[in-house]
Amino acid sequence: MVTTPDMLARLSPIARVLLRSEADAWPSLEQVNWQATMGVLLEQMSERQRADLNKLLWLIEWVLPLRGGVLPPFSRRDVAKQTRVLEAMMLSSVPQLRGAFDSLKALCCLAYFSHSSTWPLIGYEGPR
Amino acid sequence: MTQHHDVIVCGAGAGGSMAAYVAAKAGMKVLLLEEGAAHSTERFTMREEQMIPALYQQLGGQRTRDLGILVLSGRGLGGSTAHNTNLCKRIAAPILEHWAGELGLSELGTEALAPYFDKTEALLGVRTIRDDQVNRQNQRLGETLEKLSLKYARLAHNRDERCQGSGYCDLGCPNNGKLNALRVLIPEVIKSGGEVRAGVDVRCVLHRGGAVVGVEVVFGGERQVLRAPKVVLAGGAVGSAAMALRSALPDRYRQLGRGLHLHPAALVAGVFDERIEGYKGVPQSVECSEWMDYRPGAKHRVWIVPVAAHPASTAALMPGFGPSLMRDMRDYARLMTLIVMVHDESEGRVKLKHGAPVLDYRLDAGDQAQLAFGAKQAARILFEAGAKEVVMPAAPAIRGATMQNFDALTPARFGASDIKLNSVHPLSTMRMGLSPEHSAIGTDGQVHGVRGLYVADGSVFPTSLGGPPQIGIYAMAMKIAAALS
Repeated sequence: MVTTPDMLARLSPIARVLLRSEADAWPSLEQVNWQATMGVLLEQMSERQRADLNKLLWLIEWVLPLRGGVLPPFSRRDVAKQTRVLEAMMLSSVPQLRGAFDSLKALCCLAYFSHSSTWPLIGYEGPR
Repeated sequence: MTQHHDVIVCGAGAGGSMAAYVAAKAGMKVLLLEEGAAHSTERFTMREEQMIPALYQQLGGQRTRDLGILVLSGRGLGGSTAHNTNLCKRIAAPILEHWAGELGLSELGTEALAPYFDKTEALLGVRTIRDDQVNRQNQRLGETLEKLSLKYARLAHNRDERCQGSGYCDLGCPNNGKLNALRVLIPEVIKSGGEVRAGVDVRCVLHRGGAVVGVEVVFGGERQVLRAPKVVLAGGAVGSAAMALRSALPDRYRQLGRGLHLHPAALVAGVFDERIEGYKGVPQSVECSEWMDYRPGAKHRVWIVPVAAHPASTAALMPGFGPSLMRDMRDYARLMTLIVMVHDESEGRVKLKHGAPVLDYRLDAGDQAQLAFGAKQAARILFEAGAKEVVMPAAPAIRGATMQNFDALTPARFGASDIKLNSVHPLSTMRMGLSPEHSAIGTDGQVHGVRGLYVADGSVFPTSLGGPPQIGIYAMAMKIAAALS
């Protein structure tokens, strides 16, 4: 069985690209305790959900980057190339790949935008 | 759990809670089972990362088999009534007339169901939203529809004076202002001697000789058999179909799980110069019904209402990622968002894969055309309301400062699922009908060929409802439970 730390290690480089900004004002993944929040979310998933997510992470790490015909895997590529891999997935002609991208993005966003340090930047006051 | 009950109800959402309520009030010994957690107001923290996993199936990530449509449904005591926005609309008269007329279901006609709607609305305190409860987003929509001479109306809700307009309906009301299954019905089940248990996974129905004898459940990691002469499936259109399919019920005509309707929806968001703050106050109080015709084969079957979400959910729905997403999120408080829902004639099916439900559903050409038409109208409304830019979640994104990109929308883009679609109203997988050739259950709610096994939730409707289903589900469950009691 794949452990939560293993999954976090695969997810983090993806989240860094999905939640990357050009402005410094946005807090980093570390500043929003992204890994801790994501760890709790992963622990709440059913076995089946974890298995599906793990397959997807494996695909992104090893298979999708190969479309250009060369290694290295996703996590060892530079941001520009990582962005191209995720863009290709988001715009794929295969609906399942697009849907999987949306699910992954939703999960990464949940662990990021739920942190109060992101709220002043979007004008959200948070729970009152 | 005690072992002797008159009726076991599987699922504690709108339908199951109402069925348990009616049965318990009639003096039956009731056991109400729920797969999810036992929610309470004190646990509603208004935090997305905590409440979405607690209140929604699969952490809010349930999708159709091709992953093209996000399908949100509830889990835990109260089911979807714990996270819905409290909209209360009776099933439209043309739909009931169709059921009673063409489908021959005279027990479902307007007059036949009226007493159940009346009782449900009284029990749940349904009333039209007051002027002072209409938030800025809904007010702006109403004013714009008035200006455009489009048909619109103020909506009714089941909330009372405890509602503080916090805007956190979708994450569980922190003020206990919802007059829903969790607050009104489940406590009455307990007061009437019923037993309520959360965290119980109903694996299958047990039946012998054409009659139900109980259910097999997993509770605390252990399998148990619970016996009762009557069982009610109320796990929603996905859960009830899955329980039925796992139970080897007689189904010669393969009706179990068939007929899935999703009431599919597309989002259209306008970016304004000023703050709209759709996430504050009562989220949905005004509807546009200009293009909503409930008759089968109608030219237009589109319902438009405002919608709001908290930051993480909004980010998930906005198009793109990285710098473009972060730029879009800067406009979060200035968004006015409309949702275009189609009274769908497409039909899908719930199937099983390794015992878990799979939602097989594809939009037909007619529904694709309805969505394309509705999205254009929503964009037009937003521009008229003052939006400087309109955005549709899609890959690639559809956005523009004029109608040009929206006028060019083709129905095929909705079929290809590159435009992001959502569903919050899965229905009709255990359809009511006259015969086993065309339906899963009879008009009394009993599964064809299995005495004592009933269904009482959104899966029983013979067609899509074209609107928010909760009052219809409550009322239909009341009718079915009255018969079984």
